[in-house]
Amino acid sequence: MNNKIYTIICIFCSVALHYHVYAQDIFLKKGWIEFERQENVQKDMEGVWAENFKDKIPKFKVTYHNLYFDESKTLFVNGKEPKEKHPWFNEDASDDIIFSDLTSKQIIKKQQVFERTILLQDSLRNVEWRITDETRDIVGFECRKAVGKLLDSIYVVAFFTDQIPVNGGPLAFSQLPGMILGLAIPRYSITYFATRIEGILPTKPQIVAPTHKSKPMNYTELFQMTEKAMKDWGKWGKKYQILFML
Amino acid sequence: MPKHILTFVVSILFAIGGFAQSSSISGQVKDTSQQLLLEQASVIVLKAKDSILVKHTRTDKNGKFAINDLQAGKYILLITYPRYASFEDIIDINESSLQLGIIPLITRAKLLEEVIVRSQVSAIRIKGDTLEFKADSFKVGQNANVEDLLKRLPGIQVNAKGEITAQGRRVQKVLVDGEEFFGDDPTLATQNLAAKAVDKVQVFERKSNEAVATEIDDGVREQTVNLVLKEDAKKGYFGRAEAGSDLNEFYDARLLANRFKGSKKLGGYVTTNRTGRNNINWEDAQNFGGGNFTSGVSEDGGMFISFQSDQDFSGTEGIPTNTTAGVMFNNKYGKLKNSTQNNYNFRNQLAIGDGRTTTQFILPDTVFFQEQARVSNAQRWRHQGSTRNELKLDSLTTIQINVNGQISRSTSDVSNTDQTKNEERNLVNEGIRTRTQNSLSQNLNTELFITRKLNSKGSLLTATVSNRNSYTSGDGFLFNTNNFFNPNIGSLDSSVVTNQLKTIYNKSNTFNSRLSYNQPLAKRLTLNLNYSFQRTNNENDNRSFEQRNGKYDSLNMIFSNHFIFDNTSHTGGFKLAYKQKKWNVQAGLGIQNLLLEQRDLFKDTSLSRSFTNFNPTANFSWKFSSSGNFNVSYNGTQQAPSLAQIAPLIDNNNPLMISIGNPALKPSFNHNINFWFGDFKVISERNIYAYGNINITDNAFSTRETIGSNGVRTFQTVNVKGNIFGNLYVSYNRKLGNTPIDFELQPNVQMSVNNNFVNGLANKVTSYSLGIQTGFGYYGEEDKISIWLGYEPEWNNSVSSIQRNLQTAFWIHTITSDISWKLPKDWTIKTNLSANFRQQTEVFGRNVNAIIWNADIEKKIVKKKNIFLTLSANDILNQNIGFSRNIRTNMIQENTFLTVQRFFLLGFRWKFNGGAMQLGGNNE
Repeated sequence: MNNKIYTIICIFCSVALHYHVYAQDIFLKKGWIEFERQENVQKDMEGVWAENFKDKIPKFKVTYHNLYFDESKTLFVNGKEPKEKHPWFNEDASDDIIFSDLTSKQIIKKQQVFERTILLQDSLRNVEWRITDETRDIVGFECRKAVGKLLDSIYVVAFFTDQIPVNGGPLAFSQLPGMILGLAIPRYSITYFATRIEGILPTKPQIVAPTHKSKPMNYTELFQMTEKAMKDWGKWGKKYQILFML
Repeated sequence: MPKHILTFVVSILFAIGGFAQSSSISGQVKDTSQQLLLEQASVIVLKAKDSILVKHTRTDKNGKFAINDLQAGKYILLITYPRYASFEDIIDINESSLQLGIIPLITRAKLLEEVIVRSQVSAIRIKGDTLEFKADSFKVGQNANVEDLLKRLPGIQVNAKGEITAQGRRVQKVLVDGEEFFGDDPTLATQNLAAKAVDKVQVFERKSNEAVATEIDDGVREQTVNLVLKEDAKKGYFGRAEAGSDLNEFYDARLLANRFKGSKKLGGYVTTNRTGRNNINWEDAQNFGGGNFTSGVSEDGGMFISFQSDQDFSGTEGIPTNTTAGVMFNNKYGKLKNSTQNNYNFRNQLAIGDGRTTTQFILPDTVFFQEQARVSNAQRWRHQGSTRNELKLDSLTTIQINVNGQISRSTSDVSNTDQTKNEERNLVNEGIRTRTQNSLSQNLNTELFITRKLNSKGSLLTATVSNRNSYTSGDGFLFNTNNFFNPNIGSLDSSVVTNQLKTIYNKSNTFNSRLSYNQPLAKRLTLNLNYSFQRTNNENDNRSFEQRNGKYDSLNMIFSNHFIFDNTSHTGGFKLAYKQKKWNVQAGLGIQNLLLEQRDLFKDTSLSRSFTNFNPTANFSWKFSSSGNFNVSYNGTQQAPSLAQIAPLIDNNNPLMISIGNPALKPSFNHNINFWFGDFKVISERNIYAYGNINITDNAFSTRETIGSNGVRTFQTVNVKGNIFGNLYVSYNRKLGNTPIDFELQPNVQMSVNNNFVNGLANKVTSYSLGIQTGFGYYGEEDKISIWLGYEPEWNNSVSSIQRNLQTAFWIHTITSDISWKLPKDWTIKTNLSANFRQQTEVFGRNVNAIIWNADIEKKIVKKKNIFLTLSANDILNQNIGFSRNIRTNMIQENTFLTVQRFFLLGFRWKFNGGAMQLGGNNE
């Protein structure tokens, strides 16, 4: 019975908050965002053999991720299960936990790199963002488009909203003037788009840095580790390497 | 509300020059129409040159902001606030602070009233527009390329280096049909593609095929030209011609080519050789036809690729001469991408064989040795055609129609001589036999497959109807003389002489239909129900005619028969699958009702048997870590005896082997358990996997064999208990320390227990083999050099319970090596070596050790044309021997036969391509 009342209050609160958000120009300073990740899996299928399959499988692999945030920090973890799994590319969303401290500009990420679990600890990556005047609506929030270049060659497109004055975003993308609600990595045909935004922070998970017994490594060390093992992997290896670095 | 109004940016120019020089800026943001100070407004500073983000902040509760530490230069100041029109201005920062004072923002609602007047101006500034030229409207020469065409288009210039400028901006990408498979050099497309192939030229900014795929812009600000090709212009060809000969006995020549136009592909090949290396590999089969290549998506969503090389013609003893030819045509058409794949091929083979078999038969009280020598001469040709068609009626329903047929003729004559000796090596029998055969076969298979998704939740219905029809007719002669001796005194006991004409006429028709239904019961639980019906009708009419007065017209009723076999089965089954995140489990049961009927039309007798067969299955899969998985499954299969086992056909093709029936046979039941374990560590570069398999058969079909003192063997199929077969294979590989060398260790074990009866005594043969393969590999950068070296010792042991003292135990040592090396000046050397050392045993007394060493040397002789000079050496040491050993129940056999040995071929190889493929260059 108590649970029911609690739920009703919660729904009421979130409805009220939404009303508040939409009715007035209030800023959302904490809460959580659900992101839908889509990856176009047909893009990587090359060669004569692939032609026989391309038309027969779904184009996109879909997973969900949640970003919990307050005014100074964010936590990015995996979210709900998709309704339908891709018949081939059906591995679950990664179990990685990404903690970003927006004040000290630090990232602490507990990450699975193939068989190894590592703790990545470094400064938040500096992306050179170019701000455009294009805008786009994402779940009711007006977002401005920015184009960034990272690791010298990878273009990313981010849509951020000034309505959430927390400079975070999916994965460890951050430091734009507002929350990133949409992110695309065209080279690998991967997009993250917000599908739901709530203005309440649940008690769990707490926005704290993940821990792991291993010695923390930085981006350079992570790159060196994957480079050694994957230098012979060609295009696929490069993709894995880049994705591990995000 | 039109988007361009929403995103409309108000620009109000400030007079900046008058302010003092500063390295910081400050100001206050205010809604001037409502006299409201705006808190939390975004204040963003961008570089004026390229809009790169420099710094940003938010206004405080009084609407005030300050940004420090700005270097001197031109910047864009951007101020945004939800529901307000953005403020955008260029500011010039020198060395002192810049105070901007009050910055007015205005709500969009307010702005709308003013915009109506100004919207025309903004319409002119629309960005991202695509300019499109219709190519045919611009006249160019007959052989003009795309570059010539571009030069004609207004606003586009092409300079001497081939660089393109459109609307004053350098074009960085040229796409063809929106695809960017030509790399980063635009001239590849413009200088190689014919102008007449182009339908439209589109010029636009910063849109790429990736942006189209992800449905958002990738932000690459590149001036782009997209060439939209005419539908019939997407064509090209590629292929390979190669030939080699030793100018004497051995040769190998092949021509393979593919021509494509849009999604239509036409492939063909012709090959002829006398080297024993004839199989078309699967890659060639896809491009040019040949082989039996099928692929698709299976009922449960998995993918399958199956490629069957030509089994009918492989494994021939002797030196074969092969000639093959084939064509294929594939197409994809329509909005739903229906597909058709059609193949025709022809093959002709001539083979001369010469072989020798040594066999030891182990009996409870004695041993027989048999020596057999044979010479054969065979020719066979075959025409084969197939078509596979997939039609998508809508997004939920797919129909597949597959038809394939073949017609083949084979003629052969085989001459045998054999001798059987007893334990004391005294002659028991000897024979000379010549068998000629000439037969014609036809078969036709048709299959209809329908899949329909019933809803989005995963309910799926599939139905299959298929029919297989085959027919063989032929005739041949059997000349046979067998002499049986009294081994003790060496005198002739008896003699059998056969001189017969044999005719065969067999036909068979199988009809099969299957219905399968998948229904998700809960989020993680799925049920599959299936039912199938199969009916097979066989007719065998085999006759033997004795020679009388020079004519073969007297029917021998003992060795002639005319049977009709029918079998009918109904099978129903279900399967439940439960999926969890890290593991899943499946279990199911199939029940089959099988009716076997046989009618003997000569004797007018009939026999029928009915069986109920059970087929339980279970499977468990577990992903125990991010790098490892484990799978174990059980399969129970009940097998009914065949009617040939219950009442065999009587023939005299080999008078030393006679089959008799067993009406009391029960079905056998096989329990199969297999498992898989794998753990692949990428970062530590260590992989381990193992699979194992155990089969236990209840009431296994085995033989009761009686060998008479004259060496004639009589067989009967019987049920036995305790037949077991098992194997285990483990592979472990890793980098050797910190070196770039791969190390591999692969132990494998096989064991079997087989039961049978020999001359009335129960016999149990226990065999096992144990081998450990070790290998070292080195793979250099860019495939320049690769080296592989492996060694495997294998121990074989077999013991028969009726002759315990006659144990067969021997070692086989195998060394393999494979080296490939790219040298400067386009030389390539490839060589491989395989050495086999087999321990000699009491039965296998001959030395059959062999070192097979092959090498190929290649030199590219025409750089741009991809023409290579090749020298290929086969079995340089001339040690290849056709050889096989077979250990079975109470029989140990060694077979050696004529095979291809040393030869050297000098030849060339030319890889060619043209048309659009020339640009893609992606087929080699």
